[in-house]
Amino acid sequence: MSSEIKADKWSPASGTSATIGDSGDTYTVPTGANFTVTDELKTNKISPASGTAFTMGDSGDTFTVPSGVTFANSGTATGFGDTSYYVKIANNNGTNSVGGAFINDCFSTTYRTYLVTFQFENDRNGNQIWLRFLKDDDTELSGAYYRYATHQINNGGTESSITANDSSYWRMTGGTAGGNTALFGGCFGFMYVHNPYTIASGQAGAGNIYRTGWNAHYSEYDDSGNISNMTSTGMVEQNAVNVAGIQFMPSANYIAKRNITVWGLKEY
Amino acid sequence: MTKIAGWSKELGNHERDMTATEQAEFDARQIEWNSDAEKLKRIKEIRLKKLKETDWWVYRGSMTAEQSSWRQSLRDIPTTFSASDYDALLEMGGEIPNRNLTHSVWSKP
Repeated sequence: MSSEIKADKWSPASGTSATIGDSGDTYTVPTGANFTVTDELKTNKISPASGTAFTMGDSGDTFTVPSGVTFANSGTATGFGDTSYYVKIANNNGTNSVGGAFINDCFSTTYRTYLVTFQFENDRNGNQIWLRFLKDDDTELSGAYYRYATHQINNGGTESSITANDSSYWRMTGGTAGGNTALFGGCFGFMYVHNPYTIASGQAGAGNIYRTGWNAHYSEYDDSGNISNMTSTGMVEQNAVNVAGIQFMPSANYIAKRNITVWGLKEY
Repeated sequence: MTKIAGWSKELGNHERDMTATEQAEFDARQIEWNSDAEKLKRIKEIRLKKLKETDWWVYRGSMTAEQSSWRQSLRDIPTTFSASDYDALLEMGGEIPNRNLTHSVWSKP
């Protein structure tokens, strides 16, 4: 049989299932023809018939993702939810001792504000955690640019400060936190990084003496359960180069464990 | 070369050797860390913690002679011990979570 079949209904020759064609066959529903499935359609992939665009439904339609279904996105999803949200950019984590931990090219012109969350564990007593920003070429911004003020208060009520005007790094932690003697302490918390890249003239921060400022809130703890509340603010006192990355360093020895995540804040 | 851990768009999570500049700074920090002045600083911090932990003996007003002597021995550390003793004073033993300083001067009576 060939050419055209005209019929109002197809049914299985026997039983309740029927098969159309064989592997490798192609069936085409031409332009202008509609193919309606009123119940469930099962397929492994949907692609555009031509070009690269594909449309689901029409204005007013509702598509429901039922409870328990995972909607996994590995590409770019736009137009979902609010217009302001955090976008995960990078993560550096590990449990082996290293002499430093960095993230390259996490800052750009895409966002003006970034959130950096971090957890560190020292590899011995007395270690401090330091921070330096990285330039576009991935080298350290190590001039005497770092101006900061950190306030520390421990669970015993003792207050102290760590400040600098022209340091080549930001010293984040005290490194002693009670003089720990068994396990080694660490720190965890978050910081907002502002204006790491050049920004448009007329906007807040443009043309000022700094490019990159931060506010941080974190905890430093020791093996004995002593904990300090740390708040810090600082800026990189220069406006010549963009800040593209971030690097954490131990004051000496190693960082034993680390988990650093950088998020961009999409504001509008 | 010392390893440094990083993330980049091209490599994701990865490790690399420090550059010569990074290694030189790392080595300088290690030298400072191992200096006698830094060791003594760490010893004094531990001493301060031990004294604070036992301040309540003083506040209680009935400190034994042994307890008083031990607290005085802590205060005398800088004169009793010399730089050649610093490593021993900072030495730790045992396994986590029971790892602790091993020198007898730290042992509470």
